[in-house]
Amino acid sequence: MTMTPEKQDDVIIRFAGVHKAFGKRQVLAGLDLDIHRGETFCIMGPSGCGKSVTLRHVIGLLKQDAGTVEVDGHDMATIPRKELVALRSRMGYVFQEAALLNWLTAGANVALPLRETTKFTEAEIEQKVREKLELVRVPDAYEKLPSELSGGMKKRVGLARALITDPEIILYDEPTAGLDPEISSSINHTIRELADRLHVTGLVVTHHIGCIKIVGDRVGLLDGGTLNYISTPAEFLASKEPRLVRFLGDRLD
Amino acid sequence: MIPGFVAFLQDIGYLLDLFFQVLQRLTAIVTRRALILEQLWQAGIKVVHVVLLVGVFIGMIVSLQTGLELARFGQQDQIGTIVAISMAREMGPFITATILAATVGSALAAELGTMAVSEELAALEVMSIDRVALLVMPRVLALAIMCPILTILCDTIGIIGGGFVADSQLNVGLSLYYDSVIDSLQDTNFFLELPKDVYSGLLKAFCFGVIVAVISCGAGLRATAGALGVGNATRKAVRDSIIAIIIANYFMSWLFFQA
Repeated sequence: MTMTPEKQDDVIIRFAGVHKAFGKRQVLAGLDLDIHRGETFCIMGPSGCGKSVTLRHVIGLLKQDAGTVEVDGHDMATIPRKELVALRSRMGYVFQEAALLNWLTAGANVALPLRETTKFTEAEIEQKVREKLELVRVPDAYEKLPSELSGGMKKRVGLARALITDPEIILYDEPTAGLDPEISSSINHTIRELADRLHVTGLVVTHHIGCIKIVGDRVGLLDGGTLNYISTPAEFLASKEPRLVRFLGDRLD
Repeated sequence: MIPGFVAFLQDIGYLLDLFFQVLQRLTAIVTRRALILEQLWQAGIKVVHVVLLVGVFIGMIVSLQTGLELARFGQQDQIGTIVAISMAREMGPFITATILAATVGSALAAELGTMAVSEELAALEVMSIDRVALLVMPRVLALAIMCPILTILCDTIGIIGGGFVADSQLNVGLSLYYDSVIDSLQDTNFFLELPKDVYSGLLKAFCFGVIVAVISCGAGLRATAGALGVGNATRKAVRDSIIAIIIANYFMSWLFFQA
C-alpha cells in the first residue's frame, strides 16, 4: 500500500511512550508507534519481547503503566466500559491458537459475537457466517467442532470470527505460528486479500519473514521494549543494521 | 502471614463479587435456557448413580453403628429416628454437596481453567461477550437446583439402606423402622408443607450447591500458567468448596436448630 499524505495523517492506532512491566520484568519501555488507517503493520521480535502484550493494549485487555495508547482517538486507559464495547465491535482479534470455544461448532463460534451482541435474526446470522467462512476458504467447517479441524482450519475459523462484525481494525497474534510453510503462505495471502478487499487496518505480530513479505505494508523490530528499524518489508529485510542482521540471520537462512 | 490473609480476603471479595454478578444475570434465564438445561444434565443426571451408591452405604453405616450401640441399651427400635434425622439434617446435604464438589465442581474448574489458559476467556472479552452470563450463571443455577434434588434422593436411599441393615442385622422389623422414620420427620414448624428436618436440609443443599458452583467457577476463571494452572485451579476448587461447605454447615445448623 502506498501512503498518500492524507493517509499518513490519518493515525488510527497510536502508542506514545508506553511502558509496561510484569513484576520486575520491564516488557515495554517507551514504545512509540503510529499506525495509519488502512495499512497493515507487522511487529517482529524475539520470543518474550512483548509483541502480544503490545497487541493486547490495543484492544484493552491490558493497561499500560505509563504513556498513552489511543485507538481512533480513544485513550484505552480511561475509556468508559460502554465506549470500549462499542470500539471493540469495530475490531477483530485473531488469537495465536484460534481460541475457539471447543463446545461450539465452527459455525456457532463465528456466529457468537452476532448472537450475543446484535439483534440479527438466526437466518441473517447463518448467512453472514457462511459468507465469512467462504471468504476465509473453509466453507465446509460450519458444522464441525474445533476438535475436528486442523490447525490451519482453526486459524481460518478464528479469522472468520474476527471478521464477522466487519471490523475496521484486525489484530493478528502469530497468525501462522505452528503451521507448515504451505498453509502459512495460504493464510498470509488470505490476510493480504482481506486487507486489500475490505480496506481494514491490520496489526500483525509474527516471527515469520514470509508473513511480513506478503502481508506487511510496514514492519518494525520490537526489542528492548521499543520498536526499531520501522520501514517497508523490503527495506527491513535489506537492512545492514547489525542488530537487525543478527535477528534476521537465522530466519533468512 | 499478612500477605496470606490479604490474599484470603481478596479471594473472598472476588467470590462475593462473582456471586452478585450471577444474581444480576438471573434475568437472562429464559435466553440462556439451553445452556442451563445442558448444565442441569452435567451437574445432576450424570452424578445420580454416585449419589445413590454413596447414599445407600452412608445410611447403612449410620444404621449399623448407631444400632449396635442402641442395642446395648435395648433401644434399637430408635434406629429409624436416628437414621432419618441424620440423613435429612446433615448427611444427605453434606454428602451430596461433597460429591458435587469432587465431581462437578472439579470439572467446572478444569473446564473454565482450560478456557482461561487457552485464551478462550480473553476471546469472549475481546468480543464483549458477558462471560458471567454465558458461563457462570447457568452453572451456578444448575448446581443450586440439582443439589437439593440429589439430596432428596440421597436422603431417601440412605433411609432405605438403613432399613435394610436394621431389618437384616439388628432384628428391627421394617414396619417398626419406617414407623419411627415417619414419626421422627413430623414437625409443627412447616415450610412448604415439609418437616423442619427436611426443609432445613434442602435449604442447606441449595446453599451448598451455590457455594460449590461459585467457588469452582471462580477458581477456573482465574487459572493461569497452562496445564499446571488448571491442575491448581481444580485442586483449589475442591479443597475450598469442601472447607466452605463444612463452615457453612455449622452456621446453618446453628441457625436452624439453636438460634
